[in-house]
Amino acid sequence: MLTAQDIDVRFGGLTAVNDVSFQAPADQILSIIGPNGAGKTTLFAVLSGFQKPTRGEVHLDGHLLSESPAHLVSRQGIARTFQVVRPFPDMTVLDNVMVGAFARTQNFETARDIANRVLHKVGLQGKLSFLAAYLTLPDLKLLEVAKALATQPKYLLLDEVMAGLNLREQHSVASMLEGIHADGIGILLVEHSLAIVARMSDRVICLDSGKKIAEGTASEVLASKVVQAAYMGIDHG
Amino acid sequence: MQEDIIRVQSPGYFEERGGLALWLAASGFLLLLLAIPTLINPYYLRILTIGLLYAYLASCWNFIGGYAGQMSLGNAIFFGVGSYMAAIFANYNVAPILFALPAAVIFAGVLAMVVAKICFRYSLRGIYFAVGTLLLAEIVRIIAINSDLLGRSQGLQATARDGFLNLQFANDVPFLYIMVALCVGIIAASLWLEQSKLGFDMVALREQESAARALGVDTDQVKQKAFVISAMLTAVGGFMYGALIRFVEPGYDLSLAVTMIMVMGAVLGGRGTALGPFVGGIIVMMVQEFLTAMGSWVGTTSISALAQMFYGLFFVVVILFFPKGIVGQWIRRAADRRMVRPVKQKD
Repeated sequence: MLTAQDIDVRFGGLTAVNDVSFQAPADQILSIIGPNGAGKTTLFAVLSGFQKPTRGEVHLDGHLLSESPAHLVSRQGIARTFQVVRPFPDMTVLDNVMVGAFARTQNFETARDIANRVLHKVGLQGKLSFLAAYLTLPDLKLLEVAKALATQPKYLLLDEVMAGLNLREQHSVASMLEGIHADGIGILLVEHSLAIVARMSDRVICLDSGKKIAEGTASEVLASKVVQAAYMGIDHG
Repeated sequence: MQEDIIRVQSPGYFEERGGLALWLAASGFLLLLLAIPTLINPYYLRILTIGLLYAYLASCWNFIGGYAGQMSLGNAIFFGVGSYMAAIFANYNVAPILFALPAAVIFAGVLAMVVAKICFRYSLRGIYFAVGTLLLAEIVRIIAINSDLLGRSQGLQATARDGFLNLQFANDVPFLYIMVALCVGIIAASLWLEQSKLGFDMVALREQESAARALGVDTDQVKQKAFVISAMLTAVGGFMYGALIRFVEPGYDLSLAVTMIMVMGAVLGGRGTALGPFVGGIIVMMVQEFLTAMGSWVGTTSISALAQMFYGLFFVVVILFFPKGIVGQWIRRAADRRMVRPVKQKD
């Protein structure tokens, strides 16, 4: 169980995340939606140890995470991807993923086997020896997932993996992610593609100006008037 | 799911590292050096030994500047630690000169640890790390110039003493053999690193620091390790220089010139490759010697003024054509070819 409790993040006078709490069981897919600047990515940065919260705590299965630096949070089992992809461009696809695999082993052969398996799972098995610099955007998104997955996480935090993909690609990535989730890995999504949010989410949280304004099942949240006003620009007034 | 690990034909061990031909050529070159030293005149023997020292030093810098991608401009400090330690041991008759080697390596390691702690604690990155280490090297040089113990600006003479433990030989042949061994050793270490967790962590750090952290890499610790390893190995090179030349001075041993030999060798040959810095270091030596010869032909014996200009020009041209270094470019070319005809996989 990944728990966030009363999370505040302030940058000087700006409050990016304002008193957000939620619980994410590993057997659910939790989506975080909201307009640009709502604090979704900042919230992810807090969960993954890249940003210390001004107030509040993050726990994973009872262990406090929010005091640890990013690399220790990752070793605890929280793997994140970045909104703007961050490959290791001058390494091959296989080597990129092996960096993640080495998080759990010191052995070269073992790391390579893990990386091979993960790349097979995300569908990049045909491009193992390509330099990451040469991949197209859809492949780079898959590579982000593969790198994170290779660390053998308990939770996968995916920051807009669908952005830049067409709907058909989005659904094929969604199927792949559902396969990963079926293996017992908890998934948190930050997503703008509402088709994907509706398809994948067990639960949805909507943020606006740092505040949680709605939480519930996808259909509840997407039908909510506050959410429609804040996020979709539908004026019920 | 355990069963369906797919077997993929890998690009080949040497293909990924510059090609078998290059490795055979390098091995051939080293074997030739082992075979011929008694046949060539002492002048060329000395130059070849120095060339191997450059190759070794460039490979040392490659650990921090190549694999880990941290632009250290302070490696002259650790070179100086090695050469000064040799000179101090001989000059003050502390112990046979060979005992200066472990002392230098340990001292360099501790010093590097302190420098790394300070630099990386305050997150000195990129250009700031480069400038920081450069200034530290200047500070050390100025300390040496003002220290009576270190012979001030005149430097120290390493008094000659008899015996194997004092590395006193009739000619440079043993030094050449030692340098060949050190070069083989450091290339082997680089190859080992490329297949280790530390090596992957270092390259990941170089390529994308925050992505590396997200994958559980303690990037500060990796930087520290790379810096300390590089420093300790550099001190060995400095020691060999001190023992060979028997004279150390702040104007050379602690100067940017030494650091530039290391950086240029590695950049020219290919940063972050096992063989590149070796090739680059040898080329740096050859260019320097060629320009010295040209200088004496024109009438000036030092590599100065005009020669310096050609020296600079040469590097600019090479880097223009081989932005990733000579070996680095070969490796990239192989990767490009793989893009055109992707590796077939068996099911």
